[in-house]
Amino acid sequence: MTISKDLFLAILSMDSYNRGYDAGIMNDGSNDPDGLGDASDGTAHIGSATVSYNLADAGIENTSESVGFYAIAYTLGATVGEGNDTMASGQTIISYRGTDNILGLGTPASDLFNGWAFGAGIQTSTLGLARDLYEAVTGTTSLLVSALRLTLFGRLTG
Amino acid sequence: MNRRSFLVLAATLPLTGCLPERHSWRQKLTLLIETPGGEVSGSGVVAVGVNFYENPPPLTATEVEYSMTGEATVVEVLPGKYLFALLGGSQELFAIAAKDRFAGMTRGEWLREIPKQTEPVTLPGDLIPMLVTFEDITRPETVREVNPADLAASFGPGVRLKAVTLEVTDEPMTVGRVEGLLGWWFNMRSGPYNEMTPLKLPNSSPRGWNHLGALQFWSLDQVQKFNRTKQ
Repeated sequence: MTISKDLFLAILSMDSYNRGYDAGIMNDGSNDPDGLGDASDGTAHIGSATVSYNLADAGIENTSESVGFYAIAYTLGATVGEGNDTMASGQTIISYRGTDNILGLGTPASDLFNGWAFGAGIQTSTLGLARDLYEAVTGTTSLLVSALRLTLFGRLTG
Repeated sequence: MNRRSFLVLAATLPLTGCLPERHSWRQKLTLLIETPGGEVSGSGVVAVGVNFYENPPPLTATEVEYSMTGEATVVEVLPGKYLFALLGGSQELFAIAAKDRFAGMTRGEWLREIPKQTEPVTLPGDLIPMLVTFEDITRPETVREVNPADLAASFGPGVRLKAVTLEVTDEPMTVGRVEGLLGWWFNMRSGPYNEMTPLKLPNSSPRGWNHLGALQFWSLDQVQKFNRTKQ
């Protein structure tokens, strides 16, 4: 069955909540530390997308968890979409997990302080980590996403 | 009141009606292993904290948040040969392993009951934490996953995992055992934040290995302590 590009991106956007630390669902028995799994070794798939880059690959795993940041990158193994609205095989997609811990009571990982405060003009740590992951995946600081066969999706906070 | 304090207060006030119920306990994981030289065992105690929201906060609808402090459980199976039971997924492990005791209870009810538990529970095979060993404890590249059903493959004939139990305890948290064995890791650092570099754990994937990070051996607060003191 053909799936639209927008629907597939929406699925990947939700998928980032179900992988890695504090994943929303479990699939590996009941004692599952990483939800659907965020291994970038070619074993974690959703549809035609394979997890290709994670926080550990970028060297930001511990820092990310300490402030409640999470994102993951996939590479498409087949073209997704219909008609002229498609993403080609080989395209990389970074999906950013949004707010899932407002206060972070008992932990330093509060979205309120590490993310939302950006709306008040305060440079937050999650913003820097989002940039770090982007640069690690693309190998560049360029923001010309269209030239990189890259799609950014999800929401950082809010 | 400065501008930042006002903004934080204004953002926080609407959330005060959904503050969580807090629970905490310490839990001890024990591994009992049969070896040609007799039985050996090792235990580790970690502290678990829980925020339970009877009325989940808006936007996230988060019902529960766990935090955990401690380190992986270590057993010296044979002289110089160590087995590590990693931390991943430890937070809800007792509730899952002892689910029969909490039959029919809501999450809020069984979270209130866990700190009162006095009897250990034996973990079935699918709940045993991930196990690893080092062929040479001084060399990070020798880390290997251990099959809990076949310890002999990693430690030699006659070695078998007899039981893994978990219990709620008043014993103090275990600190320093892993640090004493894997101290070399503190100097292995990389990335934009100079984090402890993940190990490469061989596996059967297309790439042939997967990352095994420090957070599988120490809780986040412990790793952050090392960041401050070991660089």
